[in-house]
Amino acid sequence: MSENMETRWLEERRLRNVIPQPFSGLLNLAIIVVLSEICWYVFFSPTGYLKLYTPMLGVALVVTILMVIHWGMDCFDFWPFNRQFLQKTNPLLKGIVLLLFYVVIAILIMFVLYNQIIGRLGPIFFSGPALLSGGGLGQYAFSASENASYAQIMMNLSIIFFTILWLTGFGYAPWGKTEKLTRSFSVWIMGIFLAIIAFSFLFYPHIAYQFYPAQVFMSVPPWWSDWAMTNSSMFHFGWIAPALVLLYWTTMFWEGRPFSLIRNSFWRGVATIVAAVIAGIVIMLLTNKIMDWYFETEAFEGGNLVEQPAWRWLHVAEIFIYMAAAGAVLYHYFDNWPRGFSLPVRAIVRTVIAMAGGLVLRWLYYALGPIFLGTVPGIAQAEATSLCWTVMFLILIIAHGVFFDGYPLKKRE
Amino acid sequence: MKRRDFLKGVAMTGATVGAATTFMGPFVSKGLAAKKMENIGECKSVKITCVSETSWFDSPQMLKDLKDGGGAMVSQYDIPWTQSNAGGYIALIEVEQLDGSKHTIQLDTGWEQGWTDYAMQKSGLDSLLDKKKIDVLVISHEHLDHYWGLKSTLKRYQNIPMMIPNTFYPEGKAMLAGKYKNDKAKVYNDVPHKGELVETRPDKLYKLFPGVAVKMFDIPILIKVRGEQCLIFNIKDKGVATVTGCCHMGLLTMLNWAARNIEGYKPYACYGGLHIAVFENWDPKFDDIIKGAKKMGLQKIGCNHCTGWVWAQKARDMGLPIVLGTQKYKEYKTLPTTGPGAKENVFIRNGDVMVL
Repeated sequence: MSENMETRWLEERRLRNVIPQPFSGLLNLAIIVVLSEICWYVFFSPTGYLKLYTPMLGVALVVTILMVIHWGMDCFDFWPFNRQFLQKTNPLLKGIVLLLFYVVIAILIMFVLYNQIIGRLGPIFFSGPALLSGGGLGQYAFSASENASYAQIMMNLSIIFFTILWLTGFGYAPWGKTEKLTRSFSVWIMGIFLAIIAFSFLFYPHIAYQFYPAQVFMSVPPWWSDWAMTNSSMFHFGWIAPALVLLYWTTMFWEGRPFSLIRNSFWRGVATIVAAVIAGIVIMLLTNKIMDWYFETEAFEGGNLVEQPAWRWLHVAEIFIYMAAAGAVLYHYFDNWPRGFSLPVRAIVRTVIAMAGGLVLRWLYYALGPIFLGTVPGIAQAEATSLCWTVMFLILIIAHGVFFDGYPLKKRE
Repeated sequence: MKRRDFLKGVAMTGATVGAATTFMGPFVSKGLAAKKMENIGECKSVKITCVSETSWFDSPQMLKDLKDGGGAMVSQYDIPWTQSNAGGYIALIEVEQLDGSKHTIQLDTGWEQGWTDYAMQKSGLDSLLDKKKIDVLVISHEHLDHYWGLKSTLKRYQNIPMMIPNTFYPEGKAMLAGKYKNDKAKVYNDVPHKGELVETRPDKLYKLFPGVAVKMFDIPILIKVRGEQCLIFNIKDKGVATVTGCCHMGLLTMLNWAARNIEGYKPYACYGGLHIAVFENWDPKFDDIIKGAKKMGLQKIGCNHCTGWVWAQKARDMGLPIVLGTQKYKEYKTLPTTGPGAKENVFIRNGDVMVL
């Protein structure tokens, strides 16, 4: 079959279950849980081999891998792999090749591009080794690595957000009628461009003020500190994560609605951006209010643990990434049930399942994490975040469902 | 779906969310309302001697050990700590009651035994232990620099009454039993504790003496430790003072708890490690603490150990009442690498005394 320039691979691909649902979904879920435990133990666990959950180094790695996967899957439609490779290759082999390809690119981005090029020739804060060699900023090996990882997380999360935002709102417009590679590169560049702009005012002030003394000639003080009750840029994690998840679900659960109702691509894009940002902020504030009730205490400036505003905003992000993972399980393993009923009913049911599943996942993480993940019992530990495990889990589900075509419990038609 | 139906749906959803938020208001208010306040009585004064606040002497080395060991998530019992960098944290607290009687509390028991024995001898704590003059040993938390010097205390006073958080790991419990030897982390104790042991719970305030209480916070802490307790003193005509080992629960969270739960609470002072810029690194959240602390209204902040010299200096520059230490710490055989050469001594250092 010749390569179809109009239809993306994932829109063209059809999979069927080898065994009927819900057994297929449950078995797939069990398999991926076991695989995630192995992966966690080998790469991230504090009691494992590589111990990458420091935590920020581990979080940076999984966020970077997720970013590269989104580029590959959403921007480039798996270029440079052609349609024949995607269609004809044994799914196990194809999955391994694709996953390794994207993971290697992510590692090169972190440890070569950021650490050795960008951080050494420009913004030093992206590179742990560069921060150490710079001296005079009170950086030690551990803090330099963590600070650089955090800067990479902020930038790469921004790239993910703006790439998905553009694709959800504008699609490939205004480059929709160009060659596939042209429009792919254009959207890719646009996502990075918007991310750099957003990074400069959402996250850069945090970076300037994370050193002692504060780098007052590099940035204004964090301008959000009065509203957010914190100088930390975790505040922006708090609205970007739910906004990103809503964008995911626009495509996965709501089948493009409500934005697809707007026919003009420009206004559709604008509406998507405005709605996503506003919804993200509203959800963040509402979730914080719910936490006030749940923890029986309010966060306040300078507070710690569950009373720490920065942790509250981070926890909003953590909760919605749990929900994203639960949503991915529903989408990839349970065939995005339900398929019948009207669209509003399908959309609501799927969303409720993902949200409830996310809360169950959250409970399981804290209840079973000390046993299976080597984490410290409890919540709100200053040096911990569930994002490392949850994003890893999300990556494995996406990789299994997309790169491996759900092998062995699904087959291509 | 038609556009009109969509807009109707959005309006309904918004109204529902608004109603839910309003409805939740009473629940939040109820949750935040003051519970029954605790009356802990009053004492006349508190004298705190910094026996040792140098848990380690060189932060880069400590961080290197942490990083090489796998980071903040690894158990402290699995990290091969550099012994030449190991010190320990101990505070000696003398409480004078309203009737003139006195009680003596030892907070924590250091880390490396050689240093712990040395610091105890420099401060006279060794003699107090030999004479069984310490009323209680309160272990703030299980961290190595606060607990692993246990043998130095027990070999002098094996029956000393002790209070520990009820969240100790099996290794910590084995140390109490005098049956612990760990060649990797280099921590040993073969002297079993034979005195009264209270394992404190987070749901109870433990009143030791008039004006003196212990409060435990069940919290997760780095290098796989859990739970920390602090001492709370209600000093007549002055207010409430807290004494901490590391204050992992957070200075302001601790004071917020006291304000909501101690009858007649009036902010006065704090002493001890405040766990902020632990390794002299910075984070924008540390500025939050300075701003928040200014609103708390403390009159004296005597900080050291894991507070972070940079935080204490910046806090003082921003107007917080940081109590300055003396040069007495220079009489000790090993000096920390942080602080010498600084314009002011913003830490209560080894040998210093703070009177409240």
